[in-house]
Amino acid sequence: MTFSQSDLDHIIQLAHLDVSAALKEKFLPQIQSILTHMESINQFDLTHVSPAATAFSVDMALRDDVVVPQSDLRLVENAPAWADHSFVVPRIL
Amino acid sequence: MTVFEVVIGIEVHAQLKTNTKLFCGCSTQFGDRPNTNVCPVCLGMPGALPVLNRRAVEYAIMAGLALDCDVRHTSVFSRKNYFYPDLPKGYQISQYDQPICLGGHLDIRVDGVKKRIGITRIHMEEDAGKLIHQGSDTIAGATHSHVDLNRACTPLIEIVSEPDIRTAQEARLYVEALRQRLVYLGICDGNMDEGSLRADINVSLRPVGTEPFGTRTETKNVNSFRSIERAIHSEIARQTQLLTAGERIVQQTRQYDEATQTTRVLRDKEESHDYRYFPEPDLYPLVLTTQWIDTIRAMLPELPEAKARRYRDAGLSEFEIDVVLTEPETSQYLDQCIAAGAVPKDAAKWVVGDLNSVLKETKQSFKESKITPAGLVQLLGLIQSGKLSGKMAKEVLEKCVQTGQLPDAVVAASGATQISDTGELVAVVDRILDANLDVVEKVKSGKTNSADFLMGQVMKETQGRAKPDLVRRLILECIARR
Amino acid sequence: MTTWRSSAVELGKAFRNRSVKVADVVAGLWAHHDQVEPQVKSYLTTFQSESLAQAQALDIQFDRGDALSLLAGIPIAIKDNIHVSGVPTTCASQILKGFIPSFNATVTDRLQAQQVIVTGKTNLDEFAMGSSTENSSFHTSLNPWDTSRVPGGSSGGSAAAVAAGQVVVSLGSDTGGSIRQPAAFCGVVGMKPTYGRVSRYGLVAFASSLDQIGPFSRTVEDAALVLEAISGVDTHDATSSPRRSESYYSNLKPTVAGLKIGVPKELFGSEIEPGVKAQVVAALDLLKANGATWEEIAMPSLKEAVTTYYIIAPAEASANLSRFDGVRYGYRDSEADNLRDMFRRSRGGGFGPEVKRRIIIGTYVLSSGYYDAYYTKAQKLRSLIVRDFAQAFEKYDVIMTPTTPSVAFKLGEHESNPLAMYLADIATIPVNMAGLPAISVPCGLDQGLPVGLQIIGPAFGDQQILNVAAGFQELSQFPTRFQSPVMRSAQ
Repeated sequence: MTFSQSDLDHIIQLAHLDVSAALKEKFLPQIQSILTHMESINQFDLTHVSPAATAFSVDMALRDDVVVPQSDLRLVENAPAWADHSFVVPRIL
Repeated sequence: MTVFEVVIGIEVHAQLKTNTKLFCGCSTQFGDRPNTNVCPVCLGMPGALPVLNRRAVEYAIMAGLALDCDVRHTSVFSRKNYFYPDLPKGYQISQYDQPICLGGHLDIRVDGVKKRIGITRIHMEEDAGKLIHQGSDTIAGATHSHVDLNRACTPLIEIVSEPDIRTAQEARLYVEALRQRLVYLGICDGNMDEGSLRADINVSLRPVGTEPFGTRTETKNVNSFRSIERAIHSEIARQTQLLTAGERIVQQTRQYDEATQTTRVLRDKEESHDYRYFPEPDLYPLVLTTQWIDTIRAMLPELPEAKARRYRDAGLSEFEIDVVLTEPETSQYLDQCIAAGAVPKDAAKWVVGDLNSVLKETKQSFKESKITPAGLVQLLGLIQSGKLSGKMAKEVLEKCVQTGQLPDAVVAASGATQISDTGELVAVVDRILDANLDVVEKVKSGKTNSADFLMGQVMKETQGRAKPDLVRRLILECIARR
Repeated sequence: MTTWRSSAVELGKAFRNRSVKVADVVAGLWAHHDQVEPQVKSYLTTFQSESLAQAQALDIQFDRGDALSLLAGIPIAIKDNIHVSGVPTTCASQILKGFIPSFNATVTDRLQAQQVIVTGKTNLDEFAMGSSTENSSFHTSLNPWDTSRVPGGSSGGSAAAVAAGQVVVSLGSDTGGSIRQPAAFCGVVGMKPTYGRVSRYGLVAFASSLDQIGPFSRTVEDAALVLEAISGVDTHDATSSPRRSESYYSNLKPTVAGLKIGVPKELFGSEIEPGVKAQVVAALDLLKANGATWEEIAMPSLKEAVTTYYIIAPAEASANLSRFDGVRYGYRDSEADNLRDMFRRSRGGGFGPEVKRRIIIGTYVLSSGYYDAYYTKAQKLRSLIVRDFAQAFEKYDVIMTPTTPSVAFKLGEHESNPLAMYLADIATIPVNMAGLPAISVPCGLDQGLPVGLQIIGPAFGDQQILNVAAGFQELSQFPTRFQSPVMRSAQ
């Protein structure tokens, strides 16, 4: 599998990133080499191995359906733009 | 000209009626000031982690059991990745390839004929927040938007049907039946105006008699029964026109516009997201023991279908059954009357008829009705024993609903009970016959209709308190004796 | 004499018998800090005046004879990706500019309940992505043993602060070695507990299935004391283990005799520099001379653990970092006039190059068409790693490896070759993949720089590896033998 310039551009778009031309030029061979290295994974026969999302599984604790009151959340201090008790974002279209 | 068959599948999003959100302890209250029912978790603050709401899980299990699904012992939450301002974490936590329920069904009645609609799956997910566009009513004209995260992380179940639906009417009946069932379970308030229940509708057409499905479109977030029918009609018409003209259907997501009663394109498939689903590492797989599922099964309330069967056996008409089952509290009221000793059919007549309309006039629900089921049973007893005529009973009922008094008390206060004492009535009847000998002759000569006049006179004399069937019997008996 | 150089355990005793005042220790610490911080640059934020005020208040409590915890008055530094309510958490990133958390991490809550003195927030690689702190968007911390070298990473600031004597103990986070590797580079003790042993609530996530918070200290006892305070189930973290936490400090029992040690040959060959290997062999032989046995074992899957890690960690990170979108907190490019631009430019301007590179890799391996080739395979390999460890622990009590293949490298040495930098984590990464507990202790010097011995235990064998580490400490006396020049130089 080769990772092309257009793959890089597509992924940057998908991840909503902005990457300078110079950095892209640096990234492309680096990521290609990392991905090539990753192919060494294929030396293992994994046909009958089941995937593990976590190291081990634990009986997950669930939460009671009880309202927990909140203290000051610093919404206003942290928000880049705030009006009418809402976060403000620029036009969507 | 090719005749097409319509194929419809529906995805219903139902908001679960929990106190708190799916992954945090914030209230799910609707209509509060923006960004007040929020916390680090549902705001997507760095460092915050989701913890699953047990009751939401129980509600999802209930939905699965009530729709005859296979409730899975292991299900998995995944991350569905996309960027939008109403999605605080940049991903939605949703079950994906291992949902909590698989394979069920729901029966609907189409023009009296039963039809079974398959359920593919039910999965749990969190809702997104709300955007309020500024400077215009539409997203297109807006200069900026406000983000309210009160709704973010509210628990939803998505119920996906098989493509078994063939008409707009069936679609509507399916969603109605589904809503009724969820409301009966007490797991969803079914309020479509507030978005507690929303439908995504997949429509495709194929030439009659062919196997493969045509290209489908998905119309998002339709939120009333009427809109469901209209959106489907409009989409069928649009697709038929295109196919008839030899054009192709483009797979796309569409939006229904109530103003024009048409659907318009939201995005094409090419623009559809690459959601990069992967298992949510902040949560372990959800494991349900057989014991837990069985406990919930044992606690399931009686469902509309079983209730209908019971009412039908008790002699209620289909119309009465429909009315009684519309809202759970109506059938609950009826069941309480039955439990208190009422004959189901008699009680149903009042619940569906006079009580229903009197409550509507006084803007009371069955739940808050000032005449309790016990009160109605008392009223039925007064009719049964002949103390009240139907007409009188209705007046008593009105008084009860207005004042909250019991029927016995209302009757005692007015002193007005029905005369059902034969001796007392015979005297009145004889007096009336004596005064109307000409009419008596007519009756004797076979014109039995003329007895109605005599009856009217008796009723007038007794101010309507006489028991009508008794009066008719006495008139005929007295005439026969003369 | 007990001073700011002392261990937490010693200080706790001295505070109690009133031979030393908390305020004097804290003042002494800051005086030393002012001298060495320009050379080491461990911190991003310090709380000097607050800590002095807190120390004085604690002295009053100690004078009164209040029953205080063993950690009361102990100065502790916290990695700046762990929340302390009301003070900035930066993750050493520009994208968190101006962000102040409204809540404590669970570990912070637990430490504050024990009345520790939080001295400040320490430097790290941006979002804990790196092995040197060179990816911090503020500055690079330096190794107290040789300031031309890196302290390791990503918890480099926390390791350097302890090694330089700027603080008694500190907290770091470890996703692929981010506690153990800098501990090895700086010659201190660093422990990654079993996954789920310590709550992750309030730790800004890098890779959720691998992240774990743990302590840095100069002695094994101190590591046990801090772990005891921060561990245990947390209702805010569904992945925290419901298993009862142990009294790691009071149960500490130095253990060497009879110990069966396995050493994976995949991490003991040519990939390890000879000088490092020599020190580790010496340490193993010291243990052997005192009644333990060790032998090399085969664990084939470990060779590919790094590959697995560099698929799984970026994949999880790509999603974990999506919340930094300029909407609710942090940096927003205010020039952008539409939403898409705002997302792109805020994230483009806020994230540094290494973070971007990992987001790109993570997004790619999850994207349509590549998921099975990369992500599913990596998860399968993860199963093999878990299995290999489980089999090894049927035969051995602990597994030991060099913590790192080399000693601390020079600043900028791996700048142009990220892959080489990634390979520096070969010995630590498998442990995260399997969720196991591991501790790095100093075991010798190579070219005058510390070498770390990594002791790995079975799941929830946290007490066991602390006991073995304590046994090794007793034999090697490393806390007194290996003190950084920066710490030694102090008056």
